[in-house]
Amino acid sequence: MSTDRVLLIDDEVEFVEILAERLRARGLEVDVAYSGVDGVNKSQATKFDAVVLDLAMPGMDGIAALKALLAGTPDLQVMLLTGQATIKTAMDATRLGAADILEKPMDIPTLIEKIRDARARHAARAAERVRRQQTQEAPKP
Amino acid sequence: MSVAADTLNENRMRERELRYFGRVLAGQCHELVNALNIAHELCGLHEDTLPRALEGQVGAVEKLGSLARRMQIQIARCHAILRVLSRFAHSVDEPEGTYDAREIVERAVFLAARQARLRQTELQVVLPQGGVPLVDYNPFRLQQAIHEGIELLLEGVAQGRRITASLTPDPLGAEVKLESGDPLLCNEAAVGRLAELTALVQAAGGEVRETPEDGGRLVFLIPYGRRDATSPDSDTVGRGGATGGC
Repeated sequence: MSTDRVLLIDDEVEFVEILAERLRARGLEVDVAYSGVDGVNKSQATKFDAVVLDLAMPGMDGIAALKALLAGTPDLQVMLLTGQATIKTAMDATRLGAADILEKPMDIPTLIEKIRDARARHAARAAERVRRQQTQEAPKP
Repeated sequence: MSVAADTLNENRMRERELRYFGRVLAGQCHELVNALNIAHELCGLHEDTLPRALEGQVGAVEKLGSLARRMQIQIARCHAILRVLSRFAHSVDEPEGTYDAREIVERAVFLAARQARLRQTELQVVLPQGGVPLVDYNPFRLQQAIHEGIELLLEGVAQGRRITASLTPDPLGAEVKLESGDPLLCNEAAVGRLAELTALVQAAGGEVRETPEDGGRLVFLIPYGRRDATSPDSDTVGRGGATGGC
């Protein structure tokens, strides 16, 4: 099985750097972005199995970043990791297509499990998309 | 003005104070949560590093020391927030009286810093050197006026700019200047909020001297001499402040 590739987007630089270091130590391939705009650009340039996104950020906030991330790659598994989630925000994010809403602080084994679940969903969705395309493109008898 | 109208005005003022208190409290809770989340991850990394240090791996012991120092920084950050928040919470109960304007301005700017950061704007405070500018004022309302003034400027300020809050001695009191250099956002909501802010300053005995429609500069005076708190439609209205246009 190949390495899990994850993108962390959070404006709290120290938080995201430590989290990245801890995930890398457990074998994950991790990239980081310190703003929503930077995260969206990185996601367009590289394929990730999952994106872990903060909610409250200067400039493009988590909800705006979520929309932009999914606009480019609808199968992308974007999980919101936040210390400030309200029920309304969680509902908004889920409606927009967030794969999960995670609450900070989160222990590393649980976060890795969530990332791996997201990767499995990503793979399943991508396979389903290919299957549908092939069905549509197949010549009718 | 009738008793009913007075009560209505007072109730509106209280509601506004409560909303301001809630905004500050929520913002500072988020700041505390951010610091605690970093501390949580630092503890986790400390735990990850410990076995390597016990095995005698090069640099692992030094890393443990560095992580402990970084945890102390986050703890100090939490203490700083809680110290200011505690003073802020007590200011609700403090009566009108004589206060050091520097402390109040500094605290109000600290409490508005998160909102500024989320708008990608830097907040700077400039305080006079020497001589304590004592003012007679309601400390909670002064903080609220400064905070709401900063919020007003934040709506019109361009990304990456700076808002400066400064305190200058004046023959009649102490002058608070909030400057962004960018004009006030010209819409009905902003004009309404400017009028409310003017009323707030005047209700606590202050005077708005300059409003930010053109130059992004809001100036108000906090008096040295005690004045009776006046209602927004008292004779102080009209000496400055919002005129309803931009």
